Amino acid sequence: MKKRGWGLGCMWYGIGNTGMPNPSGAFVELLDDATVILLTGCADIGQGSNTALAQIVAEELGVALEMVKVVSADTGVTPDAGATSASRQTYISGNAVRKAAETAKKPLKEKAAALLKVAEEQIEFRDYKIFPSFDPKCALPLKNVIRECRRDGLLTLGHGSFNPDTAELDKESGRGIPYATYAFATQWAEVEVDTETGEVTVLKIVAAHDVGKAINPKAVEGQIEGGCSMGLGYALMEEVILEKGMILNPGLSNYLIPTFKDMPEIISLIVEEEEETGPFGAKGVGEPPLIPTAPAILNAVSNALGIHFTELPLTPEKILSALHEKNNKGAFQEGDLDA
Amino acid sequence: MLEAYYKPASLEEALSILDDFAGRARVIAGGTDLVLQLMHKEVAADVLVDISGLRQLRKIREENGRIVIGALSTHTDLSESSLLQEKAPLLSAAAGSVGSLQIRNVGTVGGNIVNAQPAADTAVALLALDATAKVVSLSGEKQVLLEELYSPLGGSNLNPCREILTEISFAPLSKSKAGGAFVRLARRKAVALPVLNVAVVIHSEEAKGALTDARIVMGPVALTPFRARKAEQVLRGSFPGEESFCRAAGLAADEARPRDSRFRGSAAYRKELARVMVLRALTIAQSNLDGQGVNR
Repeated sequence: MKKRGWGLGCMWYGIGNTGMPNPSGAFVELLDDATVILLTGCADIGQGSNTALAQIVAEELGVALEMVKVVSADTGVTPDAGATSASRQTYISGNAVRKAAETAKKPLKEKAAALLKVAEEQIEFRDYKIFPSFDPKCALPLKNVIRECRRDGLLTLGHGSFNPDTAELDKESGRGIPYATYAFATQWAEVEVDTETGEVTVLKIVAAHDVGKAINPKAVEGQIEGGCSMGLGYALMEEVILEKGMILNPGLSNYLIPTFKDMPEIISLIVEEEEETGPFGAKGVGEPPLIPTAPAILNAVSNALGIHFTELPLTPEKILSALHEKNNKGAFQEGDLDA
Repeated sequence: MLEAYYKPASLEEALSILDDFAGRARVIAGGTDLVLQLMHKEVAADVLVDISGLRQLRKIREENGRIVIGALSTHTDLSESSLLQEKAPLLSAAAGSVGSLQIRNVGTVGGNIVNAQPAADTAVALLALDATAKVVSLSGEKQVLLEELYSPLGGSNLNPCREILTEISFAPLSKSKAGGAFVRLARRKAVALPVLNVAVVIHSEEAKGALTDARIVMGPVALTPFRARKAEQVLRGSFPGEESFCRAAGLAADEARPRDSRFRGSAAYRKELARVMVLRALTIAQSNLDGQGVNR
């Protein structure tokens, strides 16, 4: 028989390293033709930080994304951005590149304010134009203002750095400020359990994640879907099998992770509760998606069968064994048969 | 280290190369198992004779009332064959569940048999179809029951340094007189070895009549693909239905001899799985026989 169940998993998670400084730095230069060079130590390991950081710089300078040339993770030339870990790069390096861009455009802001006879705080950059925020029609072309700066011998370059506001944790009480900001998420899973074989099929996952502001919504979805796949593997199949200290399954042929066929439809709900200390309100989303998936799936199996499970991975054998125990048929034990 | 790699243009040439090296050369086809075995030094060979150029050994046809499959046909060939989908759907289903798409494109049905793994999906289905194998050597050709190619202690009785499996044949499942099914459970839904697979074929002379024959094969519950003979015996002469199928499934589980495995689960669990999956396979086979099934 097949039984369906539904389960929820919730989480909150600190962005950045715990209770310790973890700064990031960046350099930005705006060239004569509005090309932008961005130097950041941030390593893009596939999550899309090169794109997200370039988007932040482009937005800050009012130029198209294609204009931003990113040089990243080259210790020969790029400033330290810390590790790509702790779900921290969008929030921390995002702030660093934004500050670098702010510094790079400062001479342009001063020049434009003088030309337009308005206060610097009223100057905006958008679509290769510089204009007073109250009167966008009265705009100066970006390249012209750059040229004006060059005439005065002014370059448009800057550096920026950001270190999240944390405080070391007290060794006795554990009190302190571990993180400057937190991500929140809730996931919902629907499963079908085969009560005769113990097989679990995950039919659907709905994943709602507060990311502050989605700098790149498609990349955020990608992170959510990838995290759900890791979480599904964690819940149902991934296990390092040890025997006398030796790993019996050191390869991907027997340490199983989910395939495309194991993955259900995932509905990503991006929640944008802007974080005031984040770049354009952004926080991190790297690790959070994998955190509530296993609890949601296990709760769904419990909901289907009325049995509470506390051990991962939840294999078909564990499920069938628990079902037999519940029905007074006795759980499976190893070695109770001739080989 | 390999001394030489031959790619003969004919079967005769392949056999004579094997003969020349007198046991030091062995046949390679798709190589999906053999290359790994050579790499892990589980198999020794100084010389490989690559028969993948022998195109006449890649075919799936109906000849004189039997389905004939060339040994070099790939799992993909079997899984996509419309002839098999119609006349032996359990075989195309089994072939379609082997490894990954890339493995299925390269691995051959002959290799699946000669490699003699107890849970080889394609071979398990072929055993349920009571297939016959044609084996050639310099001393001539012989037809042997596929079952007889398996050594009771595991491994193949075919000598890959002297003999070549050229084709496999079996009687097609005739409409409303035979039904088959292949079912499988693995730790994930693709690219995973089976925890348990079961292939069954049942025969009946008249609609809803007593079963005239039944074959139940499963793996990996022994050193070779395992025939549940007691369960088959009970079904012969019985009327198909829940009662006889449950009894047969119980017997099949009793007969099976799985071992505790850290990867596949405890023997006790897999005995229970054997019961559940034999019952399911028989039920599907019956609905296929009745012409109501999804035909797999």
